[in-house]
Parts: sequence; C-alpha cells; structure tokens
Amino acid sequence: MNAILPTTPVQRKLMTMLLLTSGVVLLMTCTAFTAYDYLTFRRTTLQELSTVGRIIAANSTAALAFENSDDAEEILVALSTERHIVAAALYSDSGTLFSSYPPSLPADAFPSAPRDDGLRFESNAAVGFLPVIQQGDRRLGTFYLKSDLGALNERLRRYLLIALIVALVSLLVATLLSSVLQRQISVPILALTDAARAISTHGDYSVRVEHRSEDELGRLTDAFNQMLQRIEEQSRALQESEKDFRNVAETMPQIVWTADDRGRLDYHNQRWHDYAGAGTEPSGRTILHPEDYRRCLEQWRASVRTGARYEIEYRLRRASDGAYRWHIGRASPLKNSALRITRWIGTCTDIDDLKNAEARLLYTLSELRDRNRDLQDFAFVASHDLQEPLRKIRVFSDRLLSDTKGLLSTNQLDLLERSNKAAARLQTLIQDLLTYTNVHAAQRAMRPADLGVIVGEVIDDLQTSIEACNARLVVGALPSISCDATQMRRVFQNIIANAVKFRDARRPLVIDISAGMTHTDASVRCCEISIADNGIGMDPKYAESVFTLFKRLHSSDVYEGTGIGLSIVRRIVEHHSGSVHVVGRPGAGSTFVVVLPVDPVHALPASGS
Amino acid sequence: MGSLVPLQLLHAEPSREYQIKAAFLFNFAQFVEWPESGFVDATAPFTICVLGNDPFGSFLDVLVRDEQVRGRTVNIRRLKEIGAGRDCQILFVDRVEARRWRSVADQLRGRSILTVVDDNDIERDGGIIRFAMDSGKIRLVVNVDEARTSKLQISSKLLRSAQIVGGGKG
Repeated sequence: MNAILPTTPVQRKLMTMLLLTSGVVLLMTCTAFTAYDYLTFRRTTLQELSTVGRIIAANSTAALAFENSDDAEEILVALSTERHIVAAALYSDSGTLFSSYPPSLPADAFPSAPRDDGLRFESNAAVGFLPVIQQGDRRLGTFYLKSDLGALNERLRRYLLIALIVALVSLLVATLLSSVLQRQISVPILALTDAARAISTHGDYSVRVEHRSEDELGRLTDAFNQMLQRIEEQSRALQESEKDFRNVAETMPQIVWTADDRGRLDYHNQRWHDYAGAGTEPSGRTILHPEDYRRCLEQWRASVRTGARYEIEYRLRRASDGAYRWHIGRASPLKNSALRITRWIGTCTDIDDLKNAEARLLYTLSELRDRNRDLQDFAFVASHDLQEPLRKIRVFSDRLLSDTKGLLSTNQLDLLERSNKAAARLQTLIQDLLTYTNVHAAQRAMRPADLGVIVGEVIDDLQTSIEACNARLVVGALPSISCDATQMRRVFQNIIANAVKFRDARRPLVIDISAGMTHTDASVRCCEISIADNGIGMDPKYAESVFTLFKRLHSSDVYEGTGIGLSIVRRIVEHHSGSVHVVGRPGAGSTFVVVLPVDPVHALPASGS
Repeated sequence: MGSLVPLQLLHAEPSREYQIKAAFLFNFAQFVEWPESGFVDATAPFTICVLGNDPFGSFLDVLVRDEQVRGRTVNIRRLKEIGAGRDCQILFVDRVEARRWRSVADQLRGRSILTVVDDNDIERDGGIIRFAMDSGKIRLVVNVDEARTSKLQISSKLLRSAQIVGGGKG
C-alpha cells in the first residue's frame, strides 16, 4: 500500500480509495447481474422455444401422419404470434421438408435435412429440432424452429444501459458521499499536518489542534496536543534555566561563552563586549595575541575532538587601549545522560596583574639572592683578609711585650697589654664571623652521629673553664641523628659556653642536658634536646633577640663575647631543618630547647637562603 | 410428397395411392382409442382386416412387421366375408364391398371396429372413415356419429386433418 500514490494528498487518496472501491463493487455487481440475467434469459428462451416447439410438434402429428400440408401450414402459421420465431418447418419421417413457415421464405432457407434432436444456440439464433411423436414412441417426423436472439440482445442492451445509468448515478452519489465522509478522516489529519508545519516553521508550541472525534484520530489529536503542552512547558523551563544561566554568566567578572557540540560559539556575555569592543564577533582571530593564536586553536580543536576539559594561558587584546592582557582560559564540556557532549562552556579570567606581580616578585627574589651572595663573599673575603694583618699586630705586640720587660713603666705596660687583648678579641670576632658565614658555604654531607659522643667531646674541650667555676654537668641519654658532626659540636659548645659564662656567682653552676622524641606538624620524627642551667636567667622579652647577630644583653665589660655565638647556633640548627628557642626568667636560669629531625632527608628545605 | 414407408422393401408393389392408404390405415391406430371391450383379451393382437379384394398386396404386411400398437402386436387378416371380421379393430372395405356397405354395416353395428371405406362417392354412407380423392390428394372424411356409436374416440388432431360429417349432437 505504501507505494501507491505516494505524493497524492490524503484527501484525494481517500476519495480515490472510496470511489475505486465502490466503482469496482458496482462494476462487479452489474456484471454479475447482467451475466446472470443473460444466462437466465438464454435458458428461458430455450425453455420457451422448447415449449412452443413441443406444442407445435404435438399438434402436427396428424398433419404429418396423414400428409395434410394445408393443416400443417395452418398449424405453423399460429407461430406468427411468437414474434421472435423467425422460421419453422416440419420434416417427414424420411427427412424431406414437408411444410415450412413463414410461407414467404424459400425452401433453401431451411436445413435440407433435420439434424440431431435438441435445442442449441447457433450464430445469433436459437435453433431446435424436436421429434414429432404420436402415442409415445411412434416417430412421425421432425419439427424445426429458429428463434432469433434479437430479444435477447435487445434485453442485454437494455440491461447494459440500465447498468450504466445505475453505475453513473451510484458513482455520482458515491462521489458526493465520499467527499463528505472522507472529511471525517482527512480534516483531523490535515489539521494535525497544518499544526505540525506551523510548529516546525515558526517554532510556535502554543498551537493546539481542535479535538473533533473520539476515535483513534481524536486520541492522536489529544496525544499531539499533550505532547505540545509538554514541549511548551519544557521549552519554557529551558528558557528559564537559560535565563538563569545568562544571569549568572552576566554577573560573573570573567568573560563567559558557550559553544555547541561541534565547537561553534553560540553565546558570550557582556564582559566580552566590554573587553573586546561592542559588536566584535566572538572569534579568537580578532582578539588573541598572534603568538598565542595557533597554540589556542590547536588546543581547542583537540578538546572538541576528545571531549577533554582544558586550561590554557593566553593574551587577549583589550579594545579600549589595544593592550594585550594575560588571561587564563578554561573550557569544560557539558554532557547529557548518554555521556555525549551537548555544549561547551568556557571562561576567560584576567590574570594579567597577577602575572605581572609574579614576574616582579621573581625578579626581586633573584636580585636579592645575588646581593646576598655578594654580601657573603664580601664578609668572607673581608674576614679572611683582616686576619693576616691582625695576627701580625698580635705577634709584634707579644714580642714587644717580652722584649721590653722591665724597660717600660707600669702604665706603658698596661697600655700594651690592653692593645694586645683588643687584637685577640678582634681575632675571635673575625673567626666567629667566618664561622657564621661558612655555615651554608660548607656543604658537608649529613652522616649519622651519636649526640652523646659529641656532647662528651665538647665537655672535654671545655674542661678547664668548667673546673674553674666548679660546675656540675648532668647528661642524660642522647639519640643518634643524621647531621654534620662538626657543626653540631659547635652548637653544643656555644650553648654550654654560654651557660658557663652567664653563671650565677652566688651558687655552683649545674647544667642538665636531656633528650626526648617528638613530631612536627608534618609528622617528621624529631628529637628534642633541652640544655637547662641555673645561671642568671633573662627577661623572657629577650628570648628571641638573643639569637640576633651582634645582640648583647650585657656590656662586654661584664661578660666577654662577640655576640655571634647564639646566632651561629640558630643558623646551624635551621640549616639542619630544626629550630631552637630559649625560655627563662631573670635569676632563675635559662633552658635552651633544640628540636632536630632525626633524618634531615625528610625535612623541609631551609627557606629564605 | 414423401411416403411413410420405404418403397424398395416391397415385392409386389401396389400403386402409389394404395401405398399411402396402407400407411394411413396403420396411422389410424395412433389416433384412435379403442375400449377394452373391443379386444378378446389383454394379449390379443391388434388386428387390421382387409375385406374383399386386397389392393395392398404384401406392402401392408411389410409395413406393420415388428410394429406394436399400445403394447399389442399388429396382425393383418384378409376376409372374404364380413362375418369373420368381428374381432378386427380396423376394417378396410374395398371399393367393391363398399357398394354393399349397408349390409356390412348392419352386421358390425355395436362393435368397436373402425371401419375405413375406400369410396369416392360422397353421397354414399361410408362407415366411420372414408378415403376420398380430391384433386390427386387423399382426403379423410370422418363420421363422428358412427364413431361415437362404435365407442371409438378419435383424436382431435385426426379430426383437424379430416372432413367431418354427422356430429348432430356436437
């Protein structure tokens, strides 16, 4: 059915179907009736012919038996009332023509001899040969009669005419009826079609189709309307959500854009126009820095192809001043429930200020590093070069002191000794400064070392001064850690020497050294070493400044020292990724707490160096 | 004009007129009905008698050979005098005997015998059926009164072909 009349409108199709069906039915009915009537009439004709023939045959027995041709003619003339009988004849038993009808017809118009009994149709005529029998079996001759089929043909013609008229009238009525009835089907379908076309042309989902019937078409119409209702609601919801998105997008401080699944831009917010200039097409070519364009295009194409989100930095030209400003561009695909990309959403964030600040910072940092290195070089070179003339001053002043013994006055000798001491102090200062600046310069490997052994060696070195003041040292168990042993020795030397120096003269000095294990916030295993004394103590407000270079709490007249020792301690401990601080009160002694990672490999790198 | 009898079968051929008359004689059996009392019994043959001089020769015998009339075989008898003709169903009276017809008729009165008289004389009383010649053709003249008296029913078809006399009672 689908191949018939594919382009014809439904209305015409329905009409054609109805008319074709009724036409075929009509044709078949008329044909059947005509054929039936034709056959019936033929049979009736034969029957009538048979009846007439039998009557005439029965009546003509005596005429034949007694050879009365007048009588025979008289009998045959009676056939004149039967209009359709065009010829009749009697044949004697021997087969010769005895009498014929109508009298006007010549003898050669009749069969020369009777044929087989029976009635049959010959060309355009019904012909019968009937036996003339008297008393059952005695055959006296044959009766011949011929009926033309004019009546039959006339009847057939009349029938065909009637059939034609009936068919024409029926078709006319069928046309009128079908043109009215087909509307039942075609009108709702056309209404649906018009509505569908209006929707697809104008996108107007508010169209509704009038409900006309309760049949399948009615239900189809209802379903169509419901579908439209739902689409309308959904498109409204979609518009709402789109509006919300636009509002959010317009509120954002970044440039926001969206693109369809094939990467064609379909939306960009007002920030774009503000930045790129009003009416500028949202295209990378017009706004991207020529050096960045190719890189960005490749990234974008790759992402559209693979569906991967990306983040890329590039420069965009600002329309107001023509300046290229650094932006960070991000894009993410939006996927539907089937994980197909439906849209891309992207932002461009201005990071130019940040980028500039970062550049400036890096520049300042490297500058600072250069200067620091110059300063260290200077300190090292200066300290090293200062030592040589200083040693000569000390050597010459010592020789002067021993050579002039007894020659100089007491006052002169005192001056010489004081100058000698000053030179010695200066030498110590220079050595300490060299040590301080050398902490980072000497990149020695960290090796596992027993802190107990190191502390023991330090106590041995300081034996003289410890005994001089009658001090007592209590040393607990100390752990092994990975460290630079030489530098670590200097840490303990400085702290113990500091305790000896600032002892309280009113009581004998006690120094308590102990250790425990602890953790930093980053879960690095550390050991915590406490060195507590019962010296003069200090004001807690100076707890931090004692570690500052050249910072002295007391004048060098009361306590000797360069003011570098604790600075060196802090510098070494920090070099080991550890920390050091001091707690104490005036007159109540001080406690130095040194925290060192057991394995400095895991420690954070020292910062700011 | 054809004949109802194949002529070549005949030995001693009678005249054409008597060939036709012989055929007529036999044909009368088809158009006339006899009462049961007209026969001796149910098996008795149908008898055609010829009184006087026989004009048919063997032609008539050949004609009725193997024929039947109402289930009865057909028999031909030739009579010298009327007294032997009581059992006949059809009695042909020739021209000579026809002149003495009155005495013959009296002897057969009341019997169901179809008397056929071969006599051209229209004035004479000629039995039930009379062969009459009219311009070369054989005409039949039927006396319906005589037929009724003899209790014979003559078919209307035969009457159509014949000239009817009598019939005073309709």
